[in-house]
Amino acid sequence: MPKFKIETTDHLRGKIQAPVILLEYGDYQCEFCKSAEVVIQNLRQSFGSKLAFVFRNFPITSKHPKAFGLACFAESSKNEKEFWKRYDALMSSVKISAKEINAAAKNSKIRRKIDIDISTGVRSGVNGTPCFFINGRRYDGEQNYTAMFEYIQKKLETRK
Amino acid sequence: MQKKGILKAGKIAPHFTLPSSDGSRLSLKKFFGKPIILVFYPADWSRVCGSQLALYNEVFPEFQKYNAQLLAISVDGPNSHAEYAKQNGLKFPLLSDFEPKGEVAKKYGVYSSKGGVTERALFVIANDGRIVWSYRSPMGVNPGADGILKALESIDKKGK
Repeated sequence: MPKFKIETTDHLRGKIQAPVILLEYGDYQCEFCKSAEVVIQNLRQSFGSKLAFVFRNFPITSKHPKAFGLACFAESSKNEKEFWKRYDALMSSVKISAKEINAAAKNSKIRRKIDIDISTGVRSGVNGTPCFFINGRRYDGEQNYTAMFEYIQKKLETRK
Repeated sequence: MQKKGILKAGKIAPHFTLPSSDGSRLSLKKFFGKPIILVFYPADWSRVCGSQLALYNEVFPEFQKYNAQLLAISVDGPNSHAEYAKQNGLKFPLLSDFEPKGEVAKKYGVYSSKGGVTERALFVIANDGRIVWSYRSPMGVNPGADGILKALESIDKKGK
């Protein structure tokens, strides 16, 4: 099934009540995802509490063989604070030891969580990475700051 | 003369035989009896096409759950297809609608004479050779896999 509703199991930066939810399906080995991270940070800074960011996994292992393992590493965090620390590290290409990755990848519960992200992502319309949904609608525009800022700004204006 | 539109659901899928990336010649009729996914795409080696085929490669197990066969078609020659399939580890055949150029794409109403390429379009064909779903995507937009999966689910439900 598609999954646009944000749940307590999702990784959220900001408030779930924010008027605009930016949901990303991403891959930690994807260079485009890493470039988009700067855009996301700038958008969060610009919109403050009006924008919440949610991340879900979509490792494309046929192109990025380590992506699933990296996703497992991030998901094996003890709490959300640790998750986002690992997320930031991975998006900054910090090297993680194979030992840590392999240990995380052995956890079937974690693997299942990532499989569910992929399955719901495909059914929601994910068409590559990074794939953004803004308030439940796939964003097919340019993935640069200006284009995304204008799109989100229009969303906020139409809510008034 | 009016341009023929994309073939819609309900029509019988036009038959064809085309050279495949594996060196053989593949006929559509060979796969009747199981659902068939036809992916028309503009060109090997282009960014959107690359990410679209990489996505289908990644979610191939989802298609296999429905026992579906995926065939991807562009006007690139067999040698280009063979190299592209090999470099990307594709799990499905790429077919050459090369000579006469775009003949099969024209039968399906998805040839762009302006660009001299097949348009970006998807078809899902049921076990009896009838099209159950078709979709033309803007050239620059990867259409994802959700539409394909919904169509496969509808075939699956009818069969039960």
